[in-house]
Amino acid sequence: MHHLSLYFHFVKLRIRSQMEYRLSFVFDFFAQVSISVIDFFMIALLFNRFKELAGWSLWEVGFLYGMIGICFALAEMVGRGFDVFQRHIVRGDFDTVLIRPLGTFFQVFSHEFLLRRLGRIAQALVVFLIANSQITISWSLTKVGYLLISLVSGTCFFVGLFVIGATSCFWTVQSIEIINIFTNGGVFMGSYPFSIYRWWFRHFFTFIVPLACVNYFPALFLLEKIGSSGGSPIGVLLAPCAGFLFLGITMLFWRWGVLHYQSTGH
Amino acid sequence: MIEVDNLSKTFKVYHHRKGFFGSFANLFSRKHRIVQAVDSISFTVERGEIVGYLGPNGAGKSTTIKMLTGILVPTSGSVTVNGYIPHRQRKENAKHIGVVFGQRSHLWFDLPVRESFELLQRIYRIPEVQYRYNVEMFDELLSIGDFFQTPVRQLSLGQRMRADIAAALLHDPDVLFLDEPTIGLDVVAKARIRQFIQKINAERQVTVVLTTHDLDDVEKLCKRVILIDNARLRFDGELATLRRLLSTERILSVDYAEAYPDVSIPSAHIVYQEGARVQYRFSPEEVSTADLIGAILQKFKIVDISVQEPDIEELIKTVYEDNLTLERKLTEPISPNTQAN
Amino acid sequence: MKSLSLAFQVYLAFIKKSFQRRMQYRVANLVGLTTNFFFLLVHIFVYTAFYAARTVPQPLSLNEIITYFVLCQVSFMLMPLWGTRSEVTSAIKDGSVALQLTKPVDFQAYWFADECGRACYYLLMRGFPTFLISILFFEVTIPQQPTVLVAFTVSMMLAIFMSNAITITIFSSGFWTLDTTGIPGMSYSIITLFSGMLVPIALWPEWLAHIARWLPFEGLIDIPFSIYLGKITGIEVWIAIGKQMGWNLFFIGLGRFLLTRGFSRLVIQGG
Repeated sequence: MHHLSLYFHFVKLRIRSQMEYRLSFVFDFFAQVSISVIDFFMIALLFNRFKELAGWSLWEVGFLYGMIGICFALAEMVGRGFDVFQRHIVRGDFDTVLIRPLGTFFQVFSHEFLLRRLGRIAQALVVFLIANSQITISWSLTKVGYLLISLVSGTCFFVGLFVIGATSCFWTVQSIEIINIFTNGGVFMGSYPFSIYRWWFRHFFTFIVPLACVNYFPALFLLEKIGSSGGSPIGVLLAPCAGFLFLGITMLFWRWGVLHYQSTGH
Repeated sequence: MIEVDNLSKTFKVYHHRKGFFGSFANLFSRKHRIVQAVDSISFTVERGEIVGYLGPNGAGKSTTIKMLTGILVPTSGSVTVNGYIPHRQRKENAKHIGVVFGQRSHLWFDLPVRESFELLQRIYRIPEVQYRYNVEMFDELLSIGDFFQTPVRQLSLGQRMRADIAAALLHDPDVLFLDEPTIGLDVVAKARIRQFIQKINAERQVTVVLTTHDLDDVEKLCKRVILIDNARLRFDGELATLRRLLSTERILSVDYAEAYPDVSIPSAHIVYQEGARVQYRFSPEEVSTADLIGAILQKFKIVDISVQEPDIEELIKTVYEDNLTLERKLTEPISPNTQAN
Repeated sequence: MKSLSLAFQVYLAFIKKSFQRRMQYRVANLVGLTTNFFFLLVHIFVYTAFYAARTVPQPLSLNEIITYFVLCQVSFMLMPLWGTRSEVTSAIKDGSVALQLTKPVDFQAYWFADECGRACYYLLMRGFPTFLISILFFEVTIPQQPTVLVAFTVSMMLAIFMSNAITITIFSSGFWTLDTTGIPGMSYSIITLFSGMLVPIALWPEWLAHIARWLPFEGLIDIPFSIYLGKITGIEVWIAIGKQMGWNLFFIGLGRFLLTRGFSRLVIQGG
């Protein structure tokens, strides 16, 4: 409870300081929206010409796009502390984290909150809702629950990626940009059905970096596409666990990394 | 209160290979050399002590403090603070210590001081009564009320330091670690912070471990000093003992009426001679100053005579600069340059 | 004449300095190469899947599409719009641009020189490696006529120049709005769309392609690549390059105007 109330207090402070630059916030909000609108507009252009992609219609792909977009934007919003952790390490701010009587993971997690990602979330949500109205999905309580768990799990997955990037800062500040392949690149490739990728690509992004579990497998279940587009029923039902598991593993990695922190200027 | 036993810390410093293929190879394996930052240091600090932890830049002061506060994990040896092992029981330890780094603020940069303090109240779960009492007291002693509503980033260095020290004491820690608390401050601000530390130490029995470059800090605050150099402990004891140890040797400067050919005196060594001016080194334990002067007056005519006690600042400085150990310093003659002042 | 050659030497020194500064970050470059290939691979997978279902001939064949995106990955890093931003760009952002006023050089020319060094670096360290490896793994078309290559090179250089001129124009607006993410962000998305970087304009519906043809931004990506692919031939090549030149002059002029006005504002307000 202490942690929860502390977290909301931190978030409140962050939001307030971001609102101080209101005009910039509004500009930025629309910049976010315009970038992501064009993003989906391009997918729509392709469908306008080609009509379908490996048996998926535009709005089915929109469903995929919306899901992964929401997860990533949420992860960027809440997991910002890990995303920009490199800066903190360079400045030596992590010393401060270590002298406080709170967990390091919790502190870095609650240190930032990027409100302006609301624009991206809104855009992804709109695409998702339109997709819903365009394809007939027989929603049931199970499906709604499954969807919500999937979204949280997907957010956890992306936060986990940020955590890996942040943890590698304990050793080096040079090569963490490789994580962009999985974050930005992940959103890009996750916007299309996985069946279009080659087997080795697919397997890598299912079992090693479980990107497919964020939206593809859940979408197979929700759109009742299991079988026609690959995936086994049990695998698909278990898919939402992957994000939680992934985050858990990265948290262990974080814990181990903290022990290797060398501080600056000894 | 604080027990440090055989504590060591080594760092790996990576060597970056040059050239295109070199940087490629750096991705997979990197050559490194080991730097010993702290080398088997042991000491204990009792409750209520103020200890000056001194040494030149890069001697390992900050590394030691960082191990005591749980920021760094020791390579070997053991540390306990209040009975906690800082790097293993970091959170527990953190509740009972206060830390101030002169070079860097631990407060929230964009928040007013008041909100930073309120955040700390939440983080350390400080009861409202205790919080109010402390804030009032710190306002009285450090006038933090003058800038309580100001964002930390707008504070002057002196104000920031006052805020930081107050913040470190809000939760009534048993031990306060101060790393260069007066660095860059003017004389008035320094005096104020010293007074405050003294008061807190006297009234609350807060143990204080202080690293500093400013020997005024040491003279005003510390009964006890620990000297380290090159990662190793060189001296640990009362400041008075250090002074006595160092002042076992005194300098007697004599200007004789004329340049005598032989001016040697039993139980004193000539360390410098130029014309009629001679300087002797002697130990007050072997011969009293009065006896020595008496012996000189018996033999020669003098114009002027004076006794110098080597001052601590000078001596510690030479210890650092020459990289000499204290023991060696004590057995070697003092160079003429140092006695000139 | 002598002062001209002296000025030339000064800017050449800027180019060299800018190039050397970047040579330090070789590991980051390796990571960047990997990222380029990842995106290229995904693009290829997506278009291969789209093309698999179509039997009707398309304006661009699959090989041409692949070549188009290889060229994209080769060249987008050379342009400040999409590549990492140079120090000069961030100078406007944090206001340290005022320092530039004290230098006895033309600011816009200095910026171009700096970007030129940057482009050289990325061409050598990113562009060529990406292209050579792509040839090994994918079916990349290579133009047979040397004239096409010459026209492509000219067009590509104009594209890089224009991307600089546009960037200056966008960031100069910061003098007035004091906003450094919103307006650049929005312009960025519009420019990206109409440059043809995400989807080649040839695949667009007619009405949208028509709009794109009237805007300057196709000159950044779509025009040089279409020349390379032989989709623009004969007299049309001259028209296309002429168009690029015209827009270049327009943006250089506009950027110059805004910079001068912006600087004088800066001086009046005292930074």
